Amino acid sequence: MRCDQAQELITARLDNELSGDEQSAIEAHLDSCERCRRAMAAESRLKQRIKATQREIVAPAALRREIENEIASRRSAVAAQADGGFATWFNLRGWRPAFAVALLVIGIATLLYVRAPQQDLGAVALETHRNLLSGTTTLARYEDANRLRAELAGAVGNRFAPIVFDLSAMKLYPISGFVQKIGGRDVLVTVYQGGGPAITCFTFLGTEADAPNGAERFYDADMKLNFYSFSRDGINGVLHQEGNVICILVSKLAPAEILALLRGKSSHA
Amino acid sequence: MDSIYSLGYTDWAVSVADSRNPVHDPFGMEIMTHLDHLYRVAIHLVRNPDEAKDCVQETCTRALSSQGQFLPGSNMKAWLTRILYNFFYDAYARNKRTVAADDLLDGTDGADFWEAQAGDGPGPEVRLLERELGAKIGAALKQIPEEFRAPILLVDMGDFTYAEAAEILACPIGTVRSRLSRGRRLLQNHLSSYLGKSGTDR
Repeated sequence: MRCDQAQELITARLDNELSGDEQSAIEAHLDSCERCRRAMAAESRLKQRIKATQREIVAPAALRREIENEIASRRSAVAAQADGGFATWFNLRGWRPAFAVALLVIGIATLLYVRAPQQDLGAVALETHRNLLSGTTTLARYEDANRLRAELAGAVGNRFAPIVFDLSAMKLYPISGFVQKIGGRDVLVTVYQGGGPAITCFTFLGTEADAPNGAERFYDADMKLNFYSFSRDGINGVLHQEGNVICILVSKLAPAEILALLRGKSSHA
Repeated sequence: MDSIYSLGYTDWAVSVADSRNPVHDPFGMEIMTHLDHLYRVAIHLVRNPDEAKDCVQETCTRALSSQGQFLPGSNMKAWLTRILYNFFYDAYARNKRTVAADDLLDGTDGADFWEAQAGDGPGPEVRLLERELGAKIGAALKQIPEEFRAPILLVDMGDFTYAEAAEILACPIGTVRSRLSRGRRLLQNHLSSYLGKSGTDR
């Protein structure tokens, strides 16, 4: 191989983009060519320098604000459009009886649905945690845990607030949160990340009947509380009730470890 | 405090949350996480920070209007970058409003931004050297033709694979590879007086 032919392979080698054949060919050439080894070292340094120095460039704050505003105004425009559409539809005279019937059907269906145990909540919580781990769900990060808590509570009209744990002993901190609709209910999701395995906390209005079928129940005599543990594909959830709020902690930690954490917890509901 | 708090996008997370119904807009929030990347690419494509800002703004507007075309779970960063490049080609490259490589040989175009980058605020000496090097690289990138610059912006700066860069630029993977190789060499030549011939001096 000539040195000019090696150049492109050196580039691809630095980017881990070589095929098997190319890999052995360029290794053989590099073994025998000091000039190309030096060229590769220089190119590698250049690549690192580009990456390191250009990371310093960040979008100006004014640009961020403008785009945030655009996102917010589009959301409200979409909401207004939805409202307008409904009003127009409702004002068509012939539709009103149909609307009344539809309301009745929805009412009965909701009643049946509410009375049925919400069995999918636990499974959705495990799935959400998995998506968070895999990075499928993107998070906005918060620095201030109190502010995060206040904003999450505000998002559900302060009907309830997320339970916040002090997991700093495990080097875990509440870094983000969002509202998730599961089975028609608002669920506040708080994400703890840091040094150890991530923990996601789900809080919502409910009862122990929300524990998934087949969950194992533990009664803690000291705390006078039931804990329900359930798992799927290596991800574990532990559910318990505090007043009218249900809390599910989900993690790759063993159920016993999550339980120990809840028993020794420092939380405020 | 743990390093997770110093990621730098806390401000927008809070300010997005201050607006009407933020927690429910994961699409908008994900766009915000790629803003620095988009701006970084744009600043190397166009003439000055104002144009880069316009470029990113238009990219986000187009992305928000085309939300239905985005496949949830697919690579949003690549999708946004493709939109940015499409806009750049439409609005700048075809109209030659951008700086042609030849025009840049006098080394003055866009120099203000890079000088500002180099001298932006006091800091430890190492940081100043880093900034100076960053400014030199930025100015040198402006001096190489767009076709060779694009793979550097995408692969070295944007962490895209060759396949992703090829999709964004609508060209074969082999073209990305050969242009990247050539581009890095051109860049090295432009930086040689600063870094030394072998790139080892500083």
